[in-house]
Amino acid sequence: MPNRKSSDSNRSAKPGSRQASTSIAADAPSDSRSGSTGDGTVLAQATPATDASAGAAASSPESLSAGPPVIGPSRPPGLNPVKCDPVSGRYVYKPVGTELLTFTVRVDVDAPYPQRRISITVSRLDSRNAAHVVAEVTADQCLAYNHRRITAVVVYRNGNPDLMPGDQVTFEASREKATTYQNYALTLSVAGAAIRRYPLTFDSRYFDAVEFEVDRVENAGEPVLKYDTASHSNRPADLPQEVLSLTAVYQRAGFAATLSPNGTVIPLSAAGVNGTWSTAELHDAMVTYWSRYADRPQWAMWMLWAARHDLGRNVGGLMFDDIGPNQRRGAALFSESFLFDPPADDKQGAAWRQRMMFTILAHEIGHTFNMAHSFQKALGVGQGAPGDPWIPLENEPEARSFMNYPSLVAGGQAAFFSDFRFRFSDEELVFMRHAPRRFVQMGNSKWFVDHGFVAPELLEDHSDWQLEIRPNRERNDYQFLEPVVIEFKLANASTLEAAVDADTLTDGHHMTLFIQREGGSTAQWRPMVQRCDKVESVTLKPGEAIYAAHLVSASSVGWLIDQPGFYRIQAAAEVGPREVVSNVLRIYVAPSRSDEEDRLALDYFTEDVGRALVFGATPALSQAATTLQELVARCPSRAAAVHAAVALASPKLRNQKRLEAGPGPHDLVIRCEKAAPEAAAAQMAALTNAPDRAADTLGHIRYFDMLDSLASALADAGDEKTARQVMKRSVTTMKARDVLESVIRTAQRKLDRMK
Amino acid sequence: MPRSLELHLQEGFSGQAVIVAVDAQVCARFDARTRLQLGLAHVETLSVEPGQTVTVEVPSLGLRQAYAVADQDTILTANLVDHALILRPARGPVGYF
Repeated sequence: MPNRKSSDSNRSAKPGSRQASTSIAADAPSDSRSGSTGDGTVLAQATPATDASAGAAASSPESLSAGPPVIGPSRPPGLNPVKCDPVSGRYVYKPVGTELLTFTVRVDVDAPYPQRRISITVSRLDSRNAAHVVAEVTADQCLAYNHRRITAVVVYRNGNPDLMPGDQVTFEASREKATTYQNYALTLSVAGAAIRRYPLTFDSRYFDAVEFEVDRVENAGEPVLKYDTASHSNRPADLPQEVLSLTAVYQRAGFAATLSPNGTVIPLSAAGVNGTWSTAELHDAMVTYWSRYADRPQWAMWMLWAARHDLGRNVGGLMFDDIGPNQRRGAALFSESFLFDPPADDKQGAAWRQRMMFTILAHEIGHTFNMAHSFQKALGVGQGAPGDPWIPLENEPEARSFMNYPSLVAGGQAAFFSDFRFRFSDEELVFMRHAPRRFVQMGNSKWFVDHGFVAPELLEDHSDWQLEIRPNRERNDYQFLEPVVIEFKLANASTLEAAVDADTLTDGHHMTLFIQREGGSTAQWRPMVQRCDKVESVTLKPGEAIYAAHLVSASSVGWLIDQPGFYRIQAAAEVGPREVVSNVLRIYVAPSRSDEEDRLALDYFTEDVGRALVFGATPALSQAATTLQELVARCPSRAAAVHAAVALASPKLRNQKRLEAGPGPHDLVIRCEKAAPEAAAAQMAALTNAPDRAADTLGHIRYFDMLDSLASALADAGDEKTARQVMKRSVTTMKARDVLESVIRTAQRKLDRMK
Repeated sequence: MPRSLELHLQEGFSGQAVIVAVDAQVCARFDARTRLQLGLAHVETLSVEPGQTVTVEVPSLGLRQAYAVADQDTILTANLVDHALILRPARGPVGYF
């Protein structure tokens, strides 16, 4: 199999090949606003307010009539004497001084197909907190030549509501002497009273940027990346005549869409001996040939122009990337499908075929934006689909949208194309432009989850930080029943000091972790506990790191590693507004070695045992304690027995409180149970009789934390001598296992204080 | 003379076991899950003669439907809609994208 191509090598290797480089130049999105609106007459400030977006909506189809999309014009001539310049696009608020909030604001009032929405993504730099709101425009006014004000009411929220208080947002654009707006601001209001105001900076006339790479198989013919809208006579009478490009379709949907210059020709051999494409072969080809392939979200997708799917001529196209944590990155079109055979009685067969190919090409790419078929919008979990729509949606079986099947509308394909304007429906545009970006971005939320139509969360690479997950043992092999403990290291990979929330790896809010059993499905690990701590930042010098360890076999939603086999584990940490993605850790879980283990497994892989291994076998988890006692008794030499022993002993190291039913039907009584002296001995035996084995299976962080807790408990109970022995053993073991010098010093200081 | 009939399991399947029989003779068993980006779960090619009965059963849902093959049939579609199994012949080729 050939190596994956690199961007640079492809650029240099293929000058003049069939790349869409010329079309890129023609269709390249521009953020320039010059010439985007009409020449209004300057009026006095006292000019009455007029509705700006009404004019914009009415005139926007004209702006679609030629070449690259143009925002605006915003004013029908003669109706509105005030020049109200266009404002659609993306704006940002960057914090100043000690402020921590960042905003991205998407204003959608006079872009092509305006949806009259303002959506806002807010995140705090120092924590995982993020929020997303969508507001529906209720008023859009040109107050004068120099001032446009748009008011919108919040209709959708996602994330932390405290970050975006208020029920109304107001976007204002103004200028002094310039011909275009210079000043932008966002005001949040509650019940009509302004509570916060943020100055904004214009960022782009598009809502996001996206890149399509189209590769073709050598036997599949030329990809149809443009279509002359006048080439077939069955079309809307007023459809503008133009050569419409694929990128223009998505630019009009609000994206700075470009074609990658790295498109290439793929040998037919990539399809295997049968010359047709299976899902696995398509995925392999994507991994091999896509110049931007990565196991992380990107605003980029790969399209393969192929001849035929394994299922034959029935399949015209397929978004094939629907397995694993990163989905919706790749799609294919099959040029030999009968779907591209013109009707026998159509005298413009070539144009008909071109149009259908262009339509299905845009359709398959639409799936990578997480858009469902028009007739599946309302599908949700209740109907057997893997996810619900992001907001309640109705099916649109008659929609003249790229996402519909032309043959399924009333009157069939001829009726569809007679009224098709080469666009997405309004509902789809609202989703593409304004849904939380992870729902839409390729490689982010899983296919059809929160479809436009939550599982893996935002996974975005960020090179200033490096997240490493590791087992902290020589081999990534685990015994059957042995809980898998993973250590996390988040390092400052930049050249400058950087601050990070000290609890990033431990509070259960910042971390996302996925576990996939090879050949099986992927599941998201969820911690047993999430803490809401006061936010405290820690400043790390370049190369410095924070660490944590988690038992990842069991999660709050059940056991994720409970069978023999290979597993892949990957994590992401939210650092400020970004996600830092870890390496992929591959581990092996060995089969059971005895009937005894098989029998124990039935009682072991339960929710209570999972909790006992994480928190300790408290009295409330009595059944789990019984199982763990059996494990220690029957399989004492196994690694799982170490976990079981410490889980049994650790709750008894200190006095504990229990909440129990009292004598009356509504009484509750708190009872105190004294620490059990024998627990310390049991804990010490489990941790120090075979220290390397215990440190290997518990991981350094948990192992030394447990020794530290044991020493403290002993000291608190007055047994200073044994406490010192524990700390001595801890320091000795740390040195023998090359633990970080700073950690050894901390332990040594504790030991010294005991003398 | 036997000829081929394509059975297309389309919308509504979420991993259920499906049993297909021709004249009470079981000829295929498989699990069907609709790929929503295609609207297609599975294609099974059957060898049938006009007049024979194709039976599709989804045991886990207690659903079973039979269809008598007609002369002109080349594709038979099966959909799970509102807790019902619906078999319907296609009048022409059926495409997915």
